[in-house]
Amino acid sequence: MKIIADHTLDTSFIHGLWPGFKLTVLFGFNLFLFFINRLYIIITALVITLLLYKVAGFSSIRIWQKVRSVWVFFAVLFVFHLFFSSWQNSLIVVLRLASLLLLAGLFTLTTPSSQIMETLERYFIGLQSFGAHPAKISLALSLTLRFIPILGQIIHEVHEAQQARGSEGNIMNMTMPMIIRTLKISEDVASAIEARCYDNDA
Amino acid sequence: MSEKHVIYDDMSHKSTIRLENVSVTFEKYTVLHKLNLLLDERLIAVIGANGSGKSTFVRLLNGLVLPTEGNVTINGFDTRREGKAVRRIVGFVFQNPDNQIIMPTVEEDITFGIKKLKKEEIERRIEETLQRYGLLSLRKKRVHLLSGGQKQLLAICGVLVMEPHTIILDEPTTQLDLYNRKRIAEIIDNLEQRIIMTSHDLLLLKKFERILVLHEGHLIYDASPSDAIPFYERLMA
Repeated sequence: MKIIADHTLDTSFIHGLWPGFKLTVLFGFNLFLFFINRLYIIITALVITLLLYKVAGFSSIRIWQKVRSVWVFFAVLFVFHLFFSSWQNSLIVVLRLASLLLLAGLFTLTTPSSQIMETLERYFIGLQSFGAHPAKISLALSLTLRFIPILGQIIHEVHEAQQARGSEGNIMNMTMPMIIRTLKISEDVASAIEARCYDNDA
Repeated sequence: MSEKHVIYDDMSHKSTIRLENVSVTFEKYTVLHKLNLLLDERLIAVIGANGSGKSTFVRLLNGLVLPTEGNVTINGFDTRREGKAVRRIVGFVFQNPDNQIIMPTVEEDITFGIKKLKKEEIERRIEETLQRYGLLSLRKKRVHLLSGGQKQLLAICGVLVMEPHTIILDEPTTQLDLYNRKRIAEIIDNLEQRIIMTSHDLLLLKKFERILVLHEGHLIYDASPSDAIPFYERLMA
């Protein structure tokens, strides 16, 4: 499930909601689902989530795009739980997880990453008294969003280079070039952040 | 008026860069040897073979690399003691835009260096810069979906939006195709700021006023393109 940096530019009711409100609802919804063990409530929660996708203007195809990369994981999880508990409990675990991930996906689809960062920064202000630095946490999260595609690209390039040299599927051979390139990038990015006048005290 | 105050009155290139007895050593390896320079031309290029010290040299000029010996001053600001002030007036465009673009979308990345300005001023600068360089339609686009040329353009815009007096470009066209090379070259030609650029693309440097040739960490030639380029070609032959 792709839940990062993929917000759309539509202007539905949900797109227009204040990000802080959406994040609070997401947090509350997740907390609620964790303490609920009734199948009909979990199914209702999933149906509500799917309805919210419709309200936000997303087609069923978009919902499937969100789920297709993890449906195998859900299937394995379901089978795994069948060994230890009833099918109802297994279904609860899988549907709960699906609801959580879909709702988190809806949040990122309807909220630009800059607004997510600003909201998180505001939330983290409360942690300042414990030595946390909200602006730095926010920057770290932005960098994570930004560099996931680049890391994916590096994995692809290293894999291709290994294939070209006749070595396929050897994780160990891929690890070292991956680490070296990632360290080099992190060094360059640190320089770029400095060169672009990032203020530590922001 | 002291030299330091001039920079905020005048957007022209009349600022000066001084290197006094500057050496840079990484562990036991000396990358740059005893450089003494006064740079006050608008278009300055640095050329040399791979590993000659070009990137280290330009990094010295905005305090990303500090001299092991000697001093570098930009309009009187010492890069060692006043790095932040130096970086506000000296922008830096890196060789690989992927490593310079920090934020996930075009608009967010452009905003990165000017976050502390007023909202209206941020909006004005973003609008103007994106409009001027033809990126306005990509404003909300995710940066990993941009082409190589668009990324390099965004990297340059991310620096220009900060309105620096000097822009350092470290091999800005190395990773680009011919079309994008020409486009970036045109943009560089039309910039009003002082430009300090490293490049292997000698055609790009013909309009420059001064070329420094580095070889194994030594400044071995310092002249106009008409003298420096033939000298460098002979050196590399």
